[in-house]
Amino acid sequence: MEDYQKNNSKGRLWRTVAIVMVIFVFIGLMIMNLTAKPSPSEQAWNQAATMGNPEAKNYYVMYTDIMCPYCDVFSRLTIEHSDEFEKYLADNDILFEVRLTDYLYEGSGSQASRDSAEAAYCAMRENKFWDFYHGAIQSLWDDYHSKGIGSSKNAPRITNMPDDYWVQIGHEAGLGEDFDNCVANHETVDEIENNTRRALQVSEGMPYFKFNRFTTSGFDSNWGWDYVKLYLDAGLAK
Amino acid sequence: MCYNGLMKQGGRIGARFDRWVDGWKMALSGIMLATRDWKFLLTALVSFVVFGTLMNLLASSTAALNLFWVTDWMGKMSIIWDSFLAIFGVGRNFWDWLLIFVITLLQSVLIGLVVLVWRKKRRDRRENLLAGVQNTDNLQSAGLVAGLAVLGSGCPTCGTTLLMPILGTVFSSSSYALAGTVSWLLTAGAIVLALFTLRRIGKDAYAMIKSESFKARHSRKEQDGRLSEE
Repeated sequence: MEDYQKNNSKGRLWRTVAIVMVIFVFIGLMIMNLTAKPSPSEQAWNQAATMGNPEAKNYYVMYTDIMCPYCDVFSRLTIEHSDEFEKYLADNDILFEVRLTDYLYEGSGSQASRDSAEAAYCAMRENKFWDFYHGAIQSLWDDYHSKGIGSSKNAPRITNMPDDYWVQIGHEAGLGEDFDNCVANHETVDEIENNTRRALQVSEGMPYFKFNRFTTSGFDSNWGWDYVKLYLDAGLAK
Repeated sequence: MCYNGLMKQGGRIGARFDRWVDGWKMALSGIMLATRDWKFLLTALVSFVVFGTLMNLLASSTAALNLFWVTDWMGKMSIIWDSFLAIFGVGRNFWDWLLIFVITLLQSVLIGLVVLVWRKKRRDRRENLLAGVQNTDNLQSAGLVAGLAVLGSGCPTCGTTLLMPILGTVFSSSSYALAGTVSWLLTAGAIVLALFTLRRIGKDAYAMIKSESFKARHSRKEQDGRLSEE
């Protein structure tokens, strides 16, 4: 009877120790999982569309569509203040990524939205994403937005965009025959569709910003560089 | 017979149109007369500034508000100041500015008139109950105008308009295509509703201001008559 009781209490002790160990292992795994955060460069959709230190402490993402006028305001301001912007990224250890979509094509059938995104990804293949992207934003501003065309939801629409508009921008960025073929054969369309699908799962309209833990959508057309800085600061504050 | 019928019908339409135009004339006269009242001007001015700033604050959907909550005091002041300046078109596209300005102006005149009519009706104790009911209607209309205008703000095709979550729930993937049209309809609806409410309250204001001045003249005459009898 005594032996039975001894064995029984030993068994209970072992069972308790086993359960406690299993719980500890689970907690340990959870902690490991939480602390083993991938670096920004590992999280980036495309390294070629990033700016700043790949191993930076802070990770800023902007979901955008080249044909979205409000997205372009933000991008244009970063181009106009490129020195300040790049210094801000360096000083605050930020990796900035642009995630390009054809949101307006998916939403309202804007063909220029898809064409521009495809061309930008063709430029990316030749590691000229930023040259093309900045060229496209600047051209849209010079040709349309600065004249009040396509610059907001109530502005007159862009109706006279030439078919080779994006190809010309590519040529100005130093891209050649490979780029032309890539655009003509729609070689990047799957990547763009995939981008938009992924963007739709997280974003609430364009532009959508995920600056560390600060997330917001939209940018006003009457905002200036001060507001870009407010956005950047908001990412560091949270 | 046919000719007579047509003429009668034409006459009826003509008379109806004349009445409709007269109603507008009366409402506009009411608004013009109301501008002589400094309290109306003050109410309209305050609503113009508050509503105009709010409309411009929401022009980028919730972006300005999100930023407002995370930025420092100077940033908050800067956001409000820029939204205020945008009422006068600073940095705004002409068509964006025009729509917001028209809605803001109509809304502020509407609120000014609602307050004016309410004040005048309150003076007469016997009309107190009726005044309460009518003003609730007017206030509801003014609130509806503001609500429609705010819902239509933001960029519908970019998916940043405030009505997007509502459309998304009902129409899912086709909501982006619909958003542009619905946004336009809401803005147009806000303007039309504001105009019709203005017509109604403007007429009320005209009738009240005129009857008040008539009563004032009448009592002055009576007083003068009594004085001359004495």
